[in-house]
Amino acid sequence: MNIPTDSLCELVIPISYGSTAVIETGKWGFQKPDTNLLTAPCQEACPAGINIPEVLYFISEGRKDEALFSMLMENPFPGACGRACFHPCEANCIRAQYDESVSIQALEKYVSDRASVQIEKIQPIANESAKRIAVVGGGPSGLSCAYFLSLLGHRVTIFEAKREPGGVLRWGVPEYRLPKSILRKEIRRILSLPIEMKTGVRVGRDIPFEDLDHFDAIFLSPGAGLNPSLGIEGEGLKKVWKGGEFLERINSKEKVILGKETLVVGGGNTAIDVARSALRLGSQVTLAYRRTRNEMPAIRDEIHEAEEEGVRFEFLVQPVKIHPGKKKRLAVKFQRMKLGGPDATGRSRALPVKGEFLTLETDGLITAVGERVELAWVPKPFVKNDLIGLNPSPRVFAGGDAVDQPRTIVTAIAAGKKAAISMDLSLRGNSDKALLSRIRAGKKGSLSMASYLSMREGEKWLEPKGVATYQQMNPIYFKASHRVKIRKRSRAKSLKKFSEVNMGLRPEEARLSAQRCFSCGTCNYCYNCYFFCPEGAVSLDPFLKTRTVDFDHCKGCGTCAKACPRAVVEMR
Amino acid sequence: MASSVQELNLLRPGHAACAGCGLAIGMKLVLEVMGPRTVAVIVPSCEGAIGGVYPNTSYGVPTFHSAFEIAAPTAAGIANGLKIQGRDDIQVLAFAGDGGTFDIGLQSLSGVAKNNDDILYVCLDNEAYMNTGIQVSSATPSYAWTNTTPEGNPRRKKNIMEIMAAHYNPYSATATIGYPRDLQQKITKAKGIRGTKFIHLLVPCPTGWRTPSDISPELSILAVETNVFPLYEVEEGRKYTINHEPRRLPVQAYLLKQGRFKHLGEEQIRQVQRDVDEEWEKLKHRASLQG
Repeated sequence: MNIPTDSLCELVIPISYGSTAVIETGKWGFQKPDTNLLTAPCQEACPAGINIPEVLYFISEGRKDEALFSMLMENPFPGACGRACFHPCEANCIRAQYDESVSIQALEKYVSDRASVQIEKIQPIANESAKRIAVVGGGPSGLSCAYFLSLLGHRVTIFEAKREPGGVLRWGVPEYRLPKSILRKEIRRILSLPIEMKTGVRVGRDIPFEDLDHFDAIFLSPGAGLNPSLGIEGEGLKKVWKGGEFLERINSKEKVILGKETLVVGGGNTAIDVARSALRLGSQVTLAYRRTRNEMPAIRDEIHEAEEEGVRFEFLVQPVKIHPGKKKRLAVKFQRMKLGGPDATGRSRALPVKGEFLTLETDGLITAVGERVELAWVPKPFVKNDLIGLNPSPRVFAGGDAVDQPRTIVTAIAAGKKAAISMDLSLRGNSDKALLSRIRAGKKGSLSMASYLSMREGEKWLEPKGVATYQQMNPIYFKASHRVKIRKRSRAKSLKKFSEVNMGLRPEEARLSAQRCFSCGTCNYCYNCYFFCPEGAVSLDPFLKTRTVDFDHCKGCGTCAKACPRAVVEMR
Repeated sequence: MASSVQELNLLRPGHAACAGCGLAIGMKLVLEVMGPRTVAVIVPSCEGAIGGVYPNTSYGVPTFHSAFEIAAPTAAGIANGLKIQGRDDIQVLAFAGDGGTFDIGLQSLSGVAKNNDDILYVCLDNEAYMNTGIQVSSATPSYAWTNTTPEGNPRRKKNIMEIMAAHYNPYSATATIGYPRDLQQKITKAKGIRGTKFIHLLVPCPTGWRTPSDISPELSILAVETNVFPLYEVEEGRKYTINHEPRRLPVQAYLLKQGRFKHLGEEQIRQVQRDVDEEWEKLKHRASLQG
């Protein structure tokens, strides 16, 4: 320390020139803050394991390209999932326990519509031991598997039976829910990676299954394309359609003419898609389901929107017979049903009410009662309970609607990702099963590609210590607010055409919605720990993603840990 | 090892404040906005203790340690001296505690406000003489325990904002550490105004309030959200603006977290609630007049 002595003041008043920084007040404390990382329940619930807190942080900062990049790391279909996913993330949002859940799905759609990621940025990593892998079926699961394998540096060939890839997204989900232009954009992005796509090739018909033997590994994702019949009398009559075929004809832009009234049988998403499509073809639609609204497997919002558009519901009825009615119409006889005790899946059983029937007259009947898997071409040992086994042989994996798992788009995407990671591990001769559990996002089985890439590159990454809970949050730092109401096209307009109903968030709405995120267990640089440190010992860098504490001076008061609304700081 | 961010800290680490000190947080936030072109005045109080032992100091700006009762006139003297030297880009900042403001320094502060000398006066209110061992001051809230009011303070807290407003000084505002952005906006606003500016800054004191060392920001938020300490500003003694719409939580949410209120009975809590509601109505009325 250099104390100047030429100052006149010095003679009268002593002056301190040194800094107290030389005093190590850090020795006072007996506990120190440590950075924690917890998995947010939304990320745990997302089968694709999208790092939702990170995505929403980027949106709230206006960094939407980075938000899209973060999503593409875990899911190649943000545009499709932002529209047609059943969004379990929102059902598990911790903010729902405080006021209302965060509009995660609307934000996913917003980012996929408004942001663009330079395709060069998602370059595959260099892989000297690249293998050749066959993917059978170019639906969401197959495309997802091919995408992740390609990112991991493998060479993939997709065999797609139809003339265009996309599977259920292309031929099942109607235009008003998922515009085909969005789907094409996402598929183009996937296929800009070095992936060979062979359309119009059905394995088992155009080439034998044995032809796949010269690949190092095979992923089977043929989907569930067969429409089962109701197994009742009169199903062969004219004007009785099957849901899947009906939707495929609409999505192929074929002309479909319906009568004045249409009856739809079923309670899943296909049934709702069929009903709302039939409305758009100018028909009056009644949907008949054997249980009640609460048991319908379709997405809640979709049921609600269908009702708003004018679909009528007839619950607790099951068709037993179809016969020709008057004036070329159909008469459908229904058995009245009642709810019984829960079945193996926990849903209430539907039981017939003896002797009570209902007959409805209609101009057309569309059945949408589940899908079945075409298995004739699959080698017998791979088949289990009318489905394909998940990993029927060491080099064969399967996913999508053809395996035993929930038939949703995002589970199909997740299965593709999981298979890609498993294949990469086994092809590199790594059979350590514990590795898969280390890259898990939470306990529900979703995997994080970001963690896997870090691990594969031998980097150190912050492993989450469990899943965040509401009790760990400090809600005093949050102000209660409502979800933004999403603009919808008016009923009159949306019924005229197949244009998208959900109009999405405006930039300002998106920013406000993203800011509502608690960012459970992930630092979103709110600066509370920085502001509230009495010592000025905390520094944050949102770009280097670092949070450092000057332990020489930290007295261990614990204010930063308590003031962190999202349990990122913990005292040790 | 200090990082570059900490070297910009104008309240340097290594200071002698208790762990979890709200006052240190307050001074840090104020000095951050004031910037290095500032001269500060402190008085014998926690600010003096935090300042460190000769020859070291925690203040990153030139700081004058004055006598207890004359924070404001010392600052005014320095400000006028700088003005005569033509160095009017340097702001003068006076830090004093509630004792040095509400009690002992009130007369001298009043004189400075009457002259409208160009200083920013920040009253760091921890609601008692904490540095000397927790004795009651006229800023101590009713029923609060201190070493000199073991049965609870029989008197209500003095309304210093009304006293300041009665001087018709250009700017007075309440602020607290739990709302750092609001506090820093007010300091920024005050920096742009010539004349005597007054900030009443509530700073929780873990030692004197008998609270754990980690809840100072939370207590300060609760003080605002229960309306015990509303955030508002007064311009020219006339124009009242409420800066934060409180959630109007019951006062228990704030009181029962503190050891100094743990002896309160139901009737006393009701009385505090009545006083708080009455003050809030008065404040809302003044704000509605719009000067």
